[in-house]
Amino acid sequence: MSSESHPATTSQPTGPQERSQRAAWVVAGNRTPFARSGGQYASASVQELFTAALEGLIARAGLAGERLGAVAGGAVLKQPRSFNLVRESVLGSALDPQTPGIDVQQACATGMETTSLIANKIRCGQIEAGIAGGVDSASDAPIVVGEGLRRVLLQLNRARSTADKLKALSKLRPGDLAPVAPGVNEPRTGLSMGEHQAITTAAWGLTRQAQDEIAEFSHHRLAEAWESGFFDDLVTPFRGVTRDTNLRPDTSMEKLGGLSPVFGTSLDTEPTMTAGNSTPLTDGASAVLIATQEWAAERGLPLLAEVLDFETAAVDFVDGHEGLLMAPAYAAPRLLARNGLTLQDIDLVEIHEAFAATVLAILAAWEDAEFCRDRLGLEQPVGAVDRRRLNVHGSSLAAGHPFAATGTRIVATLAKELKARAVAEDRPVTGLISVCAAGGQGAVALLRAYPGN
Amino acid sequence: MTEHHDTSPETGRQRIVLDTAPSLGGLYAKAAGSTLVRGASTGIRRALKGAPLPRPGKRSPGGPDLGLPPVELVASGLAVDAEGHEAFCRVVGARPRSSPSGRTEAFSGYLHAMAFPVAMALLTRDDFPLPTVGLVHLANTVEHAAPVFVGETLEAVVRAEDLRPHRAGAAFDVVVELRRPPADGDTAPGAPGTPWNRPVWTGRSVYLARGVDVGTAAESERPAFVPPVPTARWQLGSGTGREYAAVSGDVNPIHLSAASARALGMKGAIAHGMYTASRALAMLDAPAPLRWEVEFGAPLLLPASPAVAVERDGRGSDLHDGTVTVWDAKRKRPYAVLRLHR
Repeated sequence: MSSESHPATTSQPTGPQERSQRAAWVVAGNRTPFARSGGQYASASVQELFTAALEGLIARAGLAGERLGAVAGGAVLKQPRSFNLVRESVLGSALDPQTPGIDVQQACATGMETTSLIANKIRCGQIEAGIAGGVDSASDAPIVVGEGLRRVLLQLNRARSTADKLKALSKLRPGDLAPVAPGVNEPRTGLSMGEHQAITTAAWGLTRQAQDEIAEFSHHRLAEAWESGFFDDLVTPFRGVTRDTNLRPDTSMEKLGGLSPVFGTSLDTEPTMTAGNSTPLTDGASAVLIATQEWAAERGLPLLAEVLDFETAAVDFVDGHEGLLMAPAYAAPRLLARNGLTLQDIDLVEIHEAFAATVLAILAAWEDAEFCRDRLGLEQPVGAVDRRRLNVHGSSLAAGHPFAATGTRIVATLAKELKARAVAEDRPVTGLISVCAAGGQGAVALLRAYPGN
Repeated sequence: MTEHHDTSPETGRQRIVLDTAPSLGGLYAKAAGSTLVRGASTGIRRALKGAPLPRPGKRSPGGPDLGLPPVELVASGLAVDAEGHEAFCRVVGARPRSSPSGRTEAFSGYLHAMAFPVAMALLTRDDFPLPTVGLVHLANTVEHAAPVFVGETLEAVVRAEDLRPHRAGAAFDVVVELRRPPADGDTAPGAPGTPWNRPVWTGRSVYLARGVDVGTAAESERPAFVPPVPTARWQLGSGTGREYAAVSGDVNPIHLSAASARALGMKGAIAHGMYTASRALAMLDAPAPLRWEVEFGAPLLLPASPAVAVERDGRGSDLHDGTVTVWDAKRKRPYAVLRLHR
């Protein structure tokens, strides 16, 4: 059986032609407030965080006891015992325990990939509704044993005789006992994400002023969104935290300008990247509910935005041919072309602020005729983005960036904003999301809201 | 170690065959290891007791007519040991390549380390005119003519040649040739032109004996170093030299600890040149046949986090030209530049 047979879902089996044309809709979203790592969530596990995000969504959308087609989620920093993180979270939630869970991991694009996975299952007619999400906690990062101890333990495990076991143990050296924290550097280059971005920042000549402006806007816009109650139906408090703890509503160009550069200090160019225009390590979880129109209508849930399409790109950053975080610059033009759109057709653009410079570099690349011609194979530049259409409720510089949770944070935020604008302006409103990820990857998505329900 | 001598028909050099019966091939690494330690300690004794290390500007006792011994050392039964190869690759970050039949291609840097004890045996001979400890490794060229596989046993022939003036002393080359032993049906062993007679791997290491005067070097302008855009960085801990010594057998004290290095006049422990070269080569990750050359610059004082740039025109078997530059990002001085062609 390809579709669910829950008594509450009355949909008939559908033919392939019909199923391929079904639309997937974002109908609700929820997240925990994001907290800087080592703070209020320091003792919370990723499973606890993800369960909390699910529980808030279940309460908001009335999903208690409901059997969903699937819940897809994931974490970048995950302990081996959390291999079934999502299924375990489902079992700890109010969902019908017969709801399957899927663990997905694509670095910082995990939340984008889970959204794509659930939306595609719906569009293919495999499921009627599902939850996509992501979670991360740098506070709950796995600590592993060193390579020396690991080898000895594996050999010990294989040894049959006492002599073999003693032989294995005799190879142990005191230094082998030191624990190893997870590396944050790119495995193939040894450079941190910030150092990689610093090279891209220098290559595009991005100024400190421009980066600090992005950071200032992000904090001010996110603060305004919180003040206006925008997040009232998108966030559920967790562990006594009611707002994103990284948010600095009173930040200013003066304050940001006083910070010392932390990345790119050994390059020839003036270093410009500071703790203020880079995202901090953050803990948090987010989730969105995606469903067919019929499924949502049966439950009285709003069709916030249709998940139109996804595209993922990857760039060869290893030898420096392209910047580590530039893949979205390649993915978005492909996605737009496939859907017969241009950047000018997009009403709202969300570019994940891994660093302020990441946003600026992608924007600069799309305006650069040479880049668009040589790298993207386009006769015309992709074009400029009006800053009034960009990250209108702030982004990761202000909210923080729990790696796998960022994608679905943006999907939920954008879907709600698109719907509000579609209703207010009485026309379809389209949004583009761009999320860069480790390994030179980037995921982009198109969402569209309509005035009616 | 016993030796027996004859004269090479091809080179006219006296062949000194190190006494390692082929049946003891598997044990060669161990024997060579103790040779190495003995050789190294001889060198240290010579350096510490016999005479101070030559200093720049001081004419060494031998004068300009120092001669390299007209000998070649031959060692057969050098086994490409699976465990040793794996450990070496782990330390330098090389990804061993396995063929579908299950054979693992030996990493080019490991073959250098495998033959190194034979080279040390030559450098520490009583008739070798230059002190072993204190030699500066300037450059290396390797012609890796055919894939060598883990489990194979090779023969090494080592000679020193081309003693020449250098602006800081005297330079000379140590040439190591690795050959496959003759298979059944091969014609007379050693006959020129037989397939096994061609080396599968030839390494030429250029060493500098500081302050040794063998004449005046021609003035040569070294082009100014222009750092490329970094694409990577290495994190080298203070134990890097000990880790490499454990898998290469090269226990030169200048690499092992700050204290032992200072005793020999260094500022602190420095990374082995062949560690740097092997790690750079591993980043290019290209299969044999290949040719690579490395030129060393400033000593890589440990611990360090050098900047690295990898430039290549393809990946794997599609790679034809590649360069890895390793440098000190703060002082903008090169540690090593490795170039690969295939």
